[in-house]
Parts: sequence; C-alpha cells; structure tokens
Amino acid sequence: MPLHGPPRLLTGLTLLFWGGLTGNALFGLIAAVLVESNSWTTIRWNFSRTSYVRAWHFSVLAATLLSALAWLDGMKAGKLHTLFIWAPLVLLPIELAQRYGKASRLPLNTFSFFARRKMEHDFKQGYHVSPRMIHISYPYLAVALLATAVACRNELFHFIGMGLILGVCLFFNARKNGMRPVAWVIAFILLIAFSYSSHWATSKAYHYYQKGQSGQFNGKNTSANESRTSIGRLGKLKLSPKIFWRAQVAEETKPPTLLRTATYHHYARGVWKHLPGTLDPDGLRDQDGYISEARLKGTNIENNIRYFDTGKNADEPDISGAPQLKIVGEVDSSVLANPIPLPHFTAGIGDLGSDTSEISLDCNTLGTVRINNPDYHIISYSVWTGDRSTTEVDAPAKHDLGIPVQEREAIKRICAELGLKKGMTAKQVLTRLRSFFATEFTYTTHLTTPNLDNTTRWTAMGVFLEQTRRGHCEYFASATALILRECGVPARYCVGFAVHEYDSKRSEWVMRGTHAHAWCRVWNEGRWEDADLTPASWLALEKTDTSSWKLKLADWWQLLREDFLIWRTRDENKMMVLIVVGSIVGVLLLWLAWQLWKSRQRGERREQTGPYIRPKNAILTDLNKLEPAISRKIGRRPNGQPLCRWVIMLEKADPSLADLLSSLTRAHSQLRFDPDARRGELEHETNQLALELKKRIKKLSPIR
Amino acid sequence: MADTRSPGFFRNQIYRLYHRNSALAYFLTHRVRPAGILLLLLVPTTWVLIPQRTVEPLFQLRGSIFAILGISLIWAFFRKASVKIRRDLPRLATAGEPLRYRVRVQNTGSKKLAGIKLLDLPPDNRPSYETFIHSKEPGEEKRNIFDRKLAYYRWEWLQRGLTLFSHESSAPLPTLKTGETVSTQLSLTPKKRGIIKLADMRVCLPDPLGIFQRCRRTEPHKDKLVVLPHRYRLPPYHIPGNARFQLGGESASSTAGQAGDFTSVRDYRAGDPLRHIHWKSWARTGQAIVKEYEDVFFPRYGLVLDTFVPAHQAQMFEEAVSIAASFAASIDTRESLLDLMFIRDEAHVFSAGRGEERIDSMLEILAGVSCEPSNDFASLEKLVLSYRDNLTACICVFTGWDAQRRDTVLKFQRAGVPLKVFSICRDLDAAQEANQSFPSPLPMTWLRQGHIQEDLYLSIC
Repeated sequence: MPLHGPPRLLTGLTLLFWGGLTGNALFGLIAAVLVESNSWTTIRWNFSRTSYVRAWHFSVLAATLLSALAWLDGMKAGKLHTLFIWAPLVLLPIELAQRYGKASRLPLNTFSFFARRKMEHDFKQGYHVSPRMIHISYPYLAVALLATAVACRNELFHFIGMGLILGVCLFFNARKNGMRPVAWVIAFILLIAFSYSSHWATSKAYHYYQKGQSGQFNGKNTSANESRTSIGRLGKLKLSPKIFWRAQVAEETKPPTLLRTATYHHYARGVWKHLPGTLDPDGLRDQDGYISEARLKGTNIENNIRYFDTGKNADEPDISGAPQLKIVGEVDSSVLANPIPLPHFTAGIGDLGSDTSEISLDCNTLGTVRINNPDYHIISYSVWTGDRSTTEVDAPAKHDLGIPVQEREAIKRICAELGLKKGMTAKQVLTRLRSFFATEFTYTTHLTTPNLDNTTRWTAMGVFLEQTRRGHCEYFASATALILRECGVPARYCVGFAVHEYDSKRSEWVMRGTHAHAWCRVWNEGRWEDADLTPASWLALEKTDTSSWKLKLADWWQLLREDFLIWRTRDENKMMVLIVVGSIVGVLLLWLAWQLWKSRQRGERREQTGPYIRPKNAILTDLNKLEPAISRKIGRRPNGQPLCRWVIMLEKADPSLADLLSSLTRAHSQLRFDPDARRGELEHETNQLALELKKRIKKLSPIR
Repeated sequence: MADTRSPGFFRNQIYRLYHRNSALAYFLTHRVRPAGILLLLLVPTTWVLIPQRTVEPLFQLRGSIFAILGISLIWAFFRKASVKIRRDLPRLATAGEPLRYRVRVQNTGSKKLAGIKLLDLPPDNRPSYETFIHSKEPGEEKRNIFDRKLAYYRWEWLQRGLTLFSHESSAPLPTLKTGETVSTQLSLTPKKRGIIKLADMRVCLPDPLGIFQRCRRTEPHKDKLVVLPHRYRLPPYHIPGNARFQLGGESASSTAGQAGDFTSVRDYRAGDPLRHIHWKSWARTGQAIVKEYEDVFFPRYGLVLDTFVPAHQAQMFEEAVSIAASFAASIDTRESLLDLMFIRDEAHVFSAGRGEERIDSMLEILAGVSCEPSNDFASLEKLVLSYRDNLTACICVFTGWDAQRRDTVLKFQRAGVPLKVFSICRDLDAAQEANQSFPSPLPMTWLRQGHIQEDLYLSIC
C-alpha cells in the first residue's frame, strides 16, 4: 500500500474535478481548500491512535446517515452503492486527520474494528504487535476519481481530466522509482491508446450483454404501455405480500372493488400493449398517445386538482368538496413515469405537491394515468370521482376488437362450444362466460400450461381454454377479452388491484402484491365497464395471512417509513426538519471545531526564526547559488547547519554523487576559509563542479 | 515445552497453506510496487460500482487501470539486466543497529541500464514443519481457541525469530552505461546476533510507470557478517572485590615479548636480555646499562553467563547474552582482565584484556553462544571455583531463579568470590515470588524482560 502522499495540490485539483463533473462544485471547492490548506498553514495536531479511529468513525457515521437518508428517500438497498458519489466528502475527516496530524502514516487497523480489538488484546497480553502502516492520501485520491466516474455524465471532460490526474500521479510515482523520461513518455502514450481501446471494447461488450439481457423475458416489465403477462410460463407464480398501495375512503362513500392501474388493447404472445396514435382527432396528444394534465381553476385551489381535457369535454369537471379517495403508495424511482391506480370514473386528482413541484400527470386514450417526475418514491394523492371519467376516451377503436391470428381458432371453437356468436350483447356473453369459467375452470397460480413455441399448433391460451382449464387472473382476463371480441363486443385488458383488505386500526384499505389483479373493460351500452370473470375463489386462495408476526413487523416498518417520508416532505414540515437537523449537525461541528482548536499545535516550520543572514563580505561560491535548487530536493537547510554538511544529504538520493560532492565541498571550503587558496583555479573548479551537480540533481526525486 | 501429540491432518494442511502463502506474498511484495497494489484493489471496486445508467466514465477509468497494469506488467517482464555486484561489507555489525555498507555495481550487459535498484534479501525465514508443529509461542495458552486452532500467530512468531535482518532497497541508481561501475549504499538492520550469510542480492528493474518491477537475482557473491549481541548503555558502576595481583599486560601474553612497565635503569648483570640494554645510557656512561621493568598486576573479573535455558525462553537467553555483552564492552580491558565463563557442551573460558584477546573477540564469542539443554550447574561451579584465587570479582548473569541457581551463588559466596548477581525475570511479581521461594544469600539485581535497559540503569545508579 502507498507509503507517501501525492504531490501538493493534486488532491485539491482532483476534488475540484469531482465537484465540477458531479454538480457539487461548492462542496468540491470547500473540500479542496480544506485538504490543501495544510500546505499553507503550520497548525498541526498531535493526534493519538484513538483520534484517527474517531476520525474514521466520523466517516462511517456520515456514510451511515447518508445511506439511511437515501434509503428513506426510496433508494433500494441494492442501489446503495450509487451513493459512492459522496465518498470524497464522507472520507474527508480521515483524510484531514492524516494531513493535519503529525503522524506520517496510519495503522491499517484504524479501519477495522476487529483488527483494532485484536491489536489491543495483543498489547495487553504482551504479544508482539506490528500493525501495517499506510498513507491514505493516494487511496483517497483514487476514491475521489472513482466517485467522479460513478456520477459523471460528460465522457469527454471526464476522460481528459482523469487522464491528466492519472498522468501526474504516474509521473511522481515514476520519479520515486527511478525516472526514465523517454520510457515514461512512451509508456504514457501507450497507456492513453490502450485505455481508450480498453474502454471502447469493454463498453461495447457491456452494452451488447445488456442488450441481450433486455431482450429476455423477465416477467417484471409491466409499464403503462405494456404488460408482459405470465401466460405461457411454468411454475408457481409468486406474489409479494408487501403493501403496494393504501387507500383511505371518505365517509359515506362506497369503496371501489377494483383500482385500475393500466389498460391495454393489443394482445400478442402473452403481451398486452397500448398502441398509440390510433385515436387522436383533436391533436392534443403526443406521439405516445398521452395527453397532459390540466389544472382545475376556481374551487379547491389549495388541493391543486388536475384533470384531463380530452377535447370532447371542454368544460371543467364539476369537482367540489372533499376527495372520495386518498391513495398512498410507492413508485419505481428508476422509472420516469409510473402508472398509478385509480378508480372508475375518476374526475380529478389532487394533493400531489405544490405548484413549484415538477411532478405532473399524463393520460393515454385507454385511461391509464402516469405520474411523471415524482419528488420522492412514496407518493400520496387524492381522487375525486364523478359521474363520468375524464381519463378514458369513450369510443372503442379497431384494436378493441383485434384477435391474434394464433389464438383465433381456439377462440372460435370455444365460442362455438358455448354458442356464442356475433351480435350477442355484452351482458349475454358475459353471463355465459362467467358460468363457463366458474364451472369448468380452476383458479391456480401454479402454472402448468407449457410454453409453446412457434412450431406447435397450440398456443398457451388455446391450451388453457381447451385442455388444462387451469390458470390465474391473467388467463381469465385475456380469454374474456378475446372471446368478447370474437363476439363483436369491444374489450380491453387491464391490471390493477382488488380492494378487499381493510385495516380497521388505520381506517384504510390495503393493497398488497397478492391483491394484484387483471380483468377486462367491456364496452356495454355506450360506456366502458369492468368485467372480472376470474372465479371468485381467487381471493380466498390469494388471501394473505396477516396474523404472521413477520408480516406485521414488515408492514409496521414500511408504513412508518412511508408516513415519515410524507410528513417530512410536506412544505410546512420541511423547514422544521431542516432547522432541527441543521442545529444538531451545527452543534456537533462547533463542538468538534472547539475541541480541535484547543488541541492545535504549531508545526516545526513556524518555530524557525527568520532566514539565515549571511555575514557581510562573506564569499559566495557557486555552491551557495545552488542552495535553492538543492533545497527543493532535500528540504530547507536548518538554521546553524553548515552548507557542506547539508549538501552531503544529496547522497541519500543518489549515492553516486559522493565523489562529486566531496570535491565540490572541499573546493567551496577552501574558497571560503583558506586565505592562501589559489582563488582563480578554485573558482573555475567550483564553477565546473557546481554545473555538473546542477545537471545531476535535476533528475533527482525529492527526499521527504 | 514440546508438543508430543500427533499434529494431525488439519495442522499439516495449515502449515502447507502458510508455507505457500508466505512464498506467494514474498514473491508479490518484491514485484508489485505500492501503486500497483492500489490499482489492483481498484479493479474489483470499479466492477462493484457499475450503476445502471452512467457506465461510460467508469469504463474509462477501468480501461485506464487495465491499461496501466497491462503495460507495466509487460514492460517489467521484459526488462533485463546483467550486472556484477560486490559488497564492501564491514566484518562486524550489532543486533538492532542499522548497518550501512557500500555496493559496487558494474553493468556487464550490452545495453545501458536506467532506474535500477538493489536489494539484499535475507535467507528464507519460513520455519520447517517440525519447528512449526513442536514450537510454542510464550503465552500461547492464553490465546483463544480460534487462534490456537489456526496457529497463525505461531507462524508469524517463528518467522520473526528466523528473520535475520530487515533490509531497505537502494536509491534508484543513475543510468549505467555498458561496462560502467557505480557505487551505492545499502542498509540492513540485523534482528539477532550470530552470523549472517548474504547470498541473495537482487537487482530491481521497475517499469517506467513504477507499478511493477522485475526482481532478478544477480551473480551469487556470498559474504559473511558477524552480528554482535545488542548491548545496553551502562552508567559508571563499581564491581566489588580487590585486585588479586594477577599478572597482566605483556607478561600474560604468549605472543608479546617483555612484560611489565619501565621503572628505572641499572647496571647490566649477566643473563640480562640484550633487548633490555639502554643504548643511550651505555653511550653516555660507557657502561652497560639495562632497563628495569616492573611486573604489572591487574584486577581480573569473571563474567558468568547462565546458558541453562529451555528453548521456549530463548528471548530471555538473548537478553542475558546482551547483558553479558554490555558488561564485556564496558569494562576497561586496558586496566583489567575479563574472563567469560559459560557451559555449552563443555566448560568454556575466554579471557580478554591487556596482552590477551581483544574485547571484540569476546563479543564474537557471545555472538555465537547458544543455550545448553542440560542444567549442568555442577560444571559451571567447578569452572568458576577453579579460578576463585585469581578472580577479583565475578558478575553473574542468570536467566531466572531457582534452587540450583541459589545453591550455585551460595557456593561462590562461600568460596570468597565477591559477586554481583543479575537475574532476569518476567516481571516484578515473578521476581518477588522467586525470591520468597529461594531466598538469595546476597543482594541481587532483578531485571525485567523487556525493561532491561531501564532496570540496569536504575539498579547500577
């Protein structure tokens, strides 16, 4: 591990580089000034081993607080490593302790609790203890470079900056190991070329790998525009008992049985999609088929209610009074737009945040509402319902009747078996289908329907309808939609949550992963209605055992975390949280600063008196003129030390200088102190030797 | 105490693991520079930190790290050097004291050499299987079961004991042209007394970036260094006893001619050696005049070293040797004689002083002395008592205290030998306990292990 620190200013420059490229310029500047100030001040602390450990504890505490805060803000445990961006600030205490402490190196066990304990135990027992010592400035610099790479988005600037910093590091490292300038330059050019090609190759390989990964079905890709169902998959369908959403229903309001998250109208090979651009007569939608929110004026301004003006309903929805629903839940922070669950006939959505918030809503033709740029991963919103929906376009379109070619034969046979034909009303079809599914089919999440490829006649849906007749809600909903379409009834597939678990203690409805559900939207008598033909037994089968202590504990912690986040992010509470946290941190920092100020010590350099004053008429030789150049290699000559004795220290850097130094110091001494010396010859000799020495010491690396 | 139980499969595997691991660490530490270690540690870190979105800068950094490591490794691998090296080594060194010596390097290759360093490596310090199995670190029984099972502390302890010296590499040498010779300085610090054989001089050839280095063995040129025991600083002290009119100076020497100090001149008598004629006086007076000498008598001190130490108390023995060496070095042998007495296989007496051997030779003897497995105090008593008429006083350095040692001291005292007794103990409690169990017949000085210098100073002052 490194035994010495980087050259002056390099760490500071690296911190500025970090601050500049990660958008934390101010923090970078402060850290750089703190780190490099040790070169400009002689204040030092005689830290004990325990003090270094405390500095490390400060770093660990800062990292822990940062992680906890990020976790509370919705960062998943698996993504905590992205916090590495703050590592230069988190590790600043230990770096400052190293720089301002008098110890040149730290024991490596400073960073390990167990190693420290073992060392202390060995001390007590009288065993031999020899901890490994390191200088942490180069590792700190490496951490700053890594942190920059983690968060930087400007590839060119990063490559240039990183190349320069690495070049300086390697230059000074090479000087300590015998500098060979030509070889170094060749190696550095090769390094730039190879690093660029290595970067290019690994990047390409990574992206190729990622591309391959994204093409594979992973069962988790359900978004506002696409739902990859489990149709055709084998094995047990695992549903999480975790709470996804919570809903508080206003008094005297009937709770909805289903909350719809997203709706789709195109089916192929187990994937339901929303295809944009098919219904936009007014030109209000973007190319993805989404329309932006509109803000309700007039009443309930404080709720900041949003609705969707689909063109046909030019008037604002009639919204007044308290909201019927208040929904709280978690969205995926890695996705820019998340669909949110809403009841049928949603008229307006409010209480999403202040006017200054960047949060916004948009809605597609099928009534799927997305939330964009949420401030936090936990969102809370209120819903006003009315007699009509402002999110769902009324008229069915051609996709609402489409049946994939692969599924057509099986659907036809089932329709024939049930006596279903075109021209029947939705109600008639649904009645027969409900009876058919209830009597002939079994609900199960244990999937046995094989995954059929292109070479087989059968599709998963066909096998489900005609052979196994076992499946879960995705099978029933998809089959219902396709059969309705075969009968000429427009139908859509939608996903969301069944609302049937009530938490009486908190007076709210709870929607867990096990309540996730799929059903149909059917065009009936001029409007869209929910049609859920999954056998009713599914709720009993998917019922979560809420009496389990593990689940109770997980629920309690999750709800506590969510409620705390919502509380602390409210505008009225933000300032209070800031004051409390700021006061605690401020008091802690003041106490720390006071402790440090009390125990400060002046460095040795300040103890030296003024510069050496040469006696008048003293002879100045060429060796005297070399003193500044030599002091750059071996440090300033201490007061009172004879020049010749000081110059001899150059031998440590290059033992081969011994003969030259011997001749030069002899000639210098003769010139200075021998009154009978032949001055002309000696001056010439001193001049020649001094020139030779000057040439030789240029290549020397400084001795610390 | 030797462990007589069967070592078993596990201990065997552990030994092999440590043995190989130690070899690997030895190989790597001489070839990977500190910057290389840091870069190697960064490689896995860059893998762990790959986030989902911004990967390009991390790939840039990782690419650079791979490039540095790759270029440096290949460059270092292909570096070659052909050099001839000669050490200008002093004959003697002292344990614990840094020794600086010069080395002359000649480039015997066909290309010039730049940025090379020299490294004088100590011999292999890995213990043998038998040593590892049967040795026990002092205080080992107090360690926890995990430590005792893995016995890594024992491996480290044995390695420390077998390390003859610590070393530093030379400063980078200036560029050496073909056939050119340059001199540089190396330093080593002997860890223990004895003889060091220097036979593994390496020339380090770092790559231009200073990440890796090739470590080539040079033409073997074996040198030997005698490491004298560590010596403590002693304040002025007084040894009891009176001079016993021991003939010293040249008269005690088998190599020098006349003995005694010049006192006066007198007339020649028949039989006087011609060398004693004072030619100037004869020329002045015309009569044969001879110089008259007086025999010189010196005090003669005995230095008794207790070598009866079990193997697991080797550290105590080392300290006893250091104490003996400290007294040997501090006694003015121009004005006195010193007899070092100890038992190792047989009784040994070594005299130093005027007309005798130099004190350096006595220190060399002490550098090579080792423990005696059997407690043959009878031989030691016989040896010392045989010199009792000649000895002014005797300094006894004991490695512990028990009935046998107490009896030995008692016998010396009864024989009328003035004594100054030092005994090394673990701590003061142990000393008190030993003194209560075996009361000493005369005041003695207890020296605590690890605090010898401090205790010596306090007791003597």
